[in-house]
Amino acid sequence: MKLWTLKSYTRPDGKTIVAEWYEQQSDTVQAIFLTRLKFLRGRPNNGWDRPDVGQLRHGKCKGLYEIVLKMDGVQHRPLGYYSGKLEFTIVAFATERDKQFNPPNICETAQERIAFIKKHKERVREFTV
Amino acid sequence: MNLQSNVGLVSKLLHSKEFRDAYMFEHIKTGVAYQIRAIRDEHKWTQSRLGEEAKKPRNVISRLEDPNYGQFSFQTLREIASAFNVALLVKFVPFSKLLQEYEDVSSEALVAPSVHDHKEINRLKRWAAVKEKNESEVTSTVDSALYKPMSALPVLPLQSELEFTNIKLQEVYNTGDTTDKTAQTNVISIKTKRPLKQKRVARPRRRIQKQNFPIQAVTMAYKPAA
Repeated sequence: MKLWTLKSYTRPDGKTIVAEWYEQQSDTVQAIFLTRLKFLRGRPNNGWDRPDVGQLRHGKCKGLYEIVLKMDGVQHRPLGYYSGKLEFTIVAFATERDKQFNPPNICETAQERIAFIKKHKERVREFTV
Repeated sequence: MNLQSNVGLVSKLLHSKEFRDAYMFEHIKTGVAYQIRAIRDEHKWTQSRLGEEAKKPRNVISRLEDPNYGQFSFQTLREIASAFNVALLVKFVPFSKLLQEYEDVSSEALVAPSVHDHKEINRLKRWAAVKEKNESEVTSTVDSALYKPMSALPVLPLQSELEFTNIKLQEVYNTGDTTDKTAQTNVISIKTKRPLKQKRVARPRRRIQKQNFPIQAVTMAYKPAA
């Protein structure tokens, strides 16, 4: 079975935001993140649904998808979209508490980045776990 | 771009207990949750149907399939395994084995065929056949039996297909008394019979050319065909 392809928005210097976020995390969060994404890649097409991945439907978050990751007591939410067949691109990272994202304007940031990378494909890089 | 190279991963496993513990526990949590989902999908069961088979409410099945939940008991896992008619293996393993075991985490790799699956039935039967064949080939090498106490000798299985008549084993007991050089020798003779349903293999007849051998040597060299 073909595995999912994971991609990430990159900074102008070429660094992916996934690598940037990953390096700032504790060993526990890194271990969980690597493992969860590894398993998620192996899910069939119809397996990317709740409780692992959910569609956001309200306000500025509409159209975005969140990967639900509870790691070390914190609800992490990588946000992204389905950029192709069996392909998911992560464009932002947030945490969630009491149904509020932190940072609060993360959905706007994510939407801007999606619009940008659709025109500038060089600002997207594939990553593996 | 590899977020964590294999070399880097191994380095983290070797040097960070925090990473090791989290990595191991997450594999258990996520692995179990994803396996339950994969096997349920393979059966084309809904969560409600699995709940009926495992005698659990649907919301419990839903929680078990959530890798963020991770709170399942050994008893629950046994009940789920029983509902699927698969085995459950709980075993401590080295990290190298964990890495190998979870190299392929596709749905196909996570599915465990039930005991009613025809390929699994064949695998089980093949395993039994191989084991029976190995156990029927009893070695009667004297060397391997020498200097071993009776308790260390292999216990030969008693099966209906095997009939014990003579086994030649020679044990030499050393009394341990250095002044007493006597050795007691016991000879027990049991012979293993060929297991049933095996075809007799015809042995080719040997032709010995007439030569001027001494009589004793001729006797030893020629073995009449069975």
